[in-house]
This record gives sequence, structure tokens and C-alpha cells, in this order.
Amino acid sequence: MKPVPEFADDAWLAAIIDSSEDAIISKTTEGIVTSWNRSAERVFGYSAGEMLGKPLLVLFPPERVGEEERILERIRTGLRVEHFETERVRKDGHRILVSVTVSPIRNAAGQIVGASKIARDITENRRLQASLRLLNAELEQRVMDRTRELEFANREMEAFATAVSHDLRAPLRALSGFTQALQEDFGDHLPADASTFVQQIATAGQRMETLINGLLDLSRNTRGRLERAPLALAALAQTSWRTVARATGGDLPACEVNCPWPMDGDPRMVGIIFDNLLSNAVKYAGDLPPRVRIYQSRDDSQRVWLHVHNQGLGFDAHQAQEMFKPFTRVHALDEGRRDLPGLGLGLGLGLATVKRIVERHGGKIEATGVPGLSAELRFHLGTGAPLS
Amino acid sequence: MSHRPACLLLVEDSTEDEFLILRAWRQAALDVRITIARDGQQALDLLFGSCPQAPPTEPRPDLVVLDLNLPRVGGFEVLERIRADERTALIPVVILTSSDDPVDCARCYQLGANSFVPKPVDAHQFRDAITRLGQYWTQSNLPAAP
Repeated sequence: MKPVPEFADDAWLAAIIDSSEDAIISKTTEGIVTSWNRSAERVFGYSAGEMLGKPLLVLFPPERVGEEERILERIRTGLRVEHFETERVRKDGHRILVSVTVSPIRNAAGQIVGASKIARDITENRRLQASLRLLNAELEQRVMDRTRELEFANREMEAFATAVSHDLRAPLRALSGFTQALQEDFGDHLPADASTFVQQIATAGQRMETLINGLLDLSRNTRGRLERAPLALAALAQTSWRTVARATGGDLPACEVNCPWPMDGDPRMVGIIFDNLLSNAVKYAGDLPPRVRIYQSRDDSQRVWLHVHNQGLGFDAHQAQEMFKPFTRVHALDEGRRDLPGLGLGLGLGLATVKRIVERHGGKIEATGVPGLSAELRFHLGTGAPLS
Repeated sequence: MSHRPACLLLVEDSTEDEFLILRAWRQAALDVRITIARDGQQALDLLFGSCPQAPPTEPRPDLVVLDLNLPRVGGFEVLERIRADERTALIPVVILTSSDDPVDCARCYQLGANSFVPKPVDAHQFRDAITRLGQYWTQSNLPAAP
């Protein structure tokens, strides 16, 4: 494209230079200032009148005066100095950081007659970068501190739960043992009411033992190493289902398992997940036969989810949110929940344990239900199976 | 099996557990002579004779039944000291504890325990476990030759 003549005259070029945000200065090959634009005034504090005809060295801090000779040396040999970051001194004595590009100016014959210098004040930029680095470092430090605190708090909590659970067992063992001794040694002499009371003490003791064991399980599943391996899902599910069937002492319908996609996880922990979900399916079957279907799905990111679906008492959306909290029980006994001693007493720790195991795998668990009809829990274990 | 009753050192700080353990063995008609230590230090004194009130148990016990969570000197240390001393190194040590933590269990075996028995909370299971323990270690199992 040809230049438009009126846009190429000296006045036009001077206007461009004057309106530039950068300081644009020209100097002779000896370093004497020959032009000084408005931004140069703003950046360095000197007016054009003060600088024209003066050596540019007035801007150099004493320890950097050698730089000017090196710059001029390059210019005289026809080389440029590009994006050179250095320090200069303003008229008011303040030091500023500048990024400087210096290029040789040639006359019509091609001889080098001077240099143009474009300088940008990068003091603020550098200050912001430094603050940002500092803030980042502070943030990283805070995250590290907080993580350390949380890890410590978690360890403390686990140690506390374990210690409390162990310490609670000793008096409970005494309670159970002496109740037995009382029944065995003096049972014949106790009035009927007293025998009933003793039996109630024994039952309460058993309930407390289940609770303590549940707390210990919950605490243990957050400790120890998690060892991922390919899961034999059908075998794990059927093993749990057989355990549940034995514990209930009754015939259960077959558990339907359809899991074609591979999943990785800690087999022992995933076994605990199945134990809990399948025993819940039986406990909360209500009047319906405990029919359970285990299947898989894939979400948009190809992550494999495992679904455990059963018919039974179900739950609503609010209960689905609450049920993973420890000690939360969705159904009371009079709502059809079956307390099957072989399956534990339903103290509201099972799903909390399941959630903790899933989360330890980096996974997620969700629940959906239809009250009075069905319940479904679905979870993934943090890794998607490869597409086959 | 030896003609004399087996000598057994029970290291147990809980009087309730002690009562229930002794009751179980009494009901099982176990032929044993039992010495009780209430804490780890007392157990070491009885074994090695540093206690002025009590000379070392003579003969040395055929079996030590050791709790882990003990006052003064803990069960792990008692176990270590028993294994470190040639006079007691071969005595079978059964850990009988409230803990069923696999970490505790592994540590006990590493330190040379012969058996690790978690105390069941349920009274029937507790009695069964204690009875079987007593019968096995005093009747079925042959101690090391002196």
C-alpha cells in the first residue's frame, strides 16, 4: 500500500512521536540529546528545553555510567540494543526502572549520525510483578500451612476416635461380662422383673458395642494405605450378597450384577462399600422382597459410575442429602426398617463409612430415591476406565 | 505335658477384666497357678526379681498373658524386655488387649509375641476366647525345653 502523502510529512511524524506513551529520544553518536518528546518529560521529569544539547548521561545513576559508552559503541557499529532493562534517575532524584530500545539513525548516505532511544517506565510493572510474586508465595505458604493444620487435625481426630473407641470397650466389656455373671450366678434368685432389666442392660451393651465398632470402622477407613487394583466387581458384590443372605438367615432373591466396564479401587475397601450398600438394601426393603440390581453407566467425561439400585422404603431428595452424615438414619423402626442383628443395628454409620471410602479414592457418591418405592446409590472411584 | 500345674503370669491393670479372665479359667477348670501383675513394672520385677517385696516368680512362668495398655511400663516394652533377656526369651507371650488395631498386632509379632488376642466385648465371646487361650497355651502347647 502506498503511503498517503499528508500522513508522511515531518509534522505528522512529530505528532505521532509526541503522542506516544513511551519516551522517545534521539541523540548523537556522542550521546548528546537532539530530540525529547512529551513522554520523555513525563518519565524523566526534565523538559525538552532542559535536555536538548545536553548529554543523556544526566539520566544515568553513577554506578551505571559505563552503560552509555557500551550502548554508543554498539550504535556506532550499526547494532541495536533491544529491551534492555536498566535503572535511570529522574530529575527529582527518584530512580526508575526502564526498558530501553536503542537503534542507530542513518543519514541519506547511510552513515550513522545518531541514535533513537525508546524508553518505557516499567517501575510500576515490576512492582506489581513483585507484589504478585509475593502474594503468590504468601498464598502458597498459607495453603501449605492450612493443609498441614488440617492434616494434623485429621490425624488428631482419628487418633482421638480410636483412643475413645478403645477406651469405651473396656467398661463395656465389664458391663457385658458382669451382666453375664449376674445372670449365670444369680439368675435363679432374681425376680422376673429384675431378669428383664438385666436382659435390657445386656441388649444396651450389645448396641453400644456395635456403635463403637462402627466408629472404629469409620475411623480406620480414613487411615492406612489405599491400594488400587483392578476390581473384580461381580465377585465382590456376590461375596457381600452371600454374607448378607447368611446374616439374615433367609433366602434372598439373586442379586443382579451387570458391570462390563473395568474399575480400579482398593478391593478391601470396595468390599466394605458393597457390604454396607447391600445390607442397607435388605434392611430398608420394607414389605417388598429385597431385589437388588448393580449396574454401570458412563458420564460425559467417560467416568464409570457404579449403581446399586433396590426396591424398598426409598427416600426423598432432602433425606438423600442428609443420609451420608454420621449417625443419620433415614428410617425409624416403625417405618419398616428391619433390625437384623447379623447386619448390624443400623446406627447411621454405614453410609458415612461408604462416603469416606469413596472420597478417599477421589470419587463421589450420590443418592436418588423414590419414597416407598426404590433407592439408588451411585458412585465413581476417581478414575475413568479407558475407552475400549 | 508337665506334671505340675502350669505357671502363668497375667499382666492386667483392669480388675474387672482380671475377674472375668479368672472366672473363665475357673469355669473351664484350668489347672494353672496364676500370678497377677497390675502394671508393666510389676511384671518386670516379678520376672527379673528387682522388686524388694516380691522375689522373682519361681519357677519362671510357663506363659505370660500381657495387656498392652498398662501403667508405668507399657506392654510393648515389657514384651521387648522379655525377649531381650535370655532367661525369659523363650517364654510364650500372649498379648491380650482391647486393641484390634492391625498396626498394634503387627508390632507385637515383630517384637516376638507368640499370639495376639483382642479382648471381645461380648461376654460369651470373651469367655470363649479366654478359655480357648488358656487351654491351648497350658494344655495343648508344649513349652520350650528349659
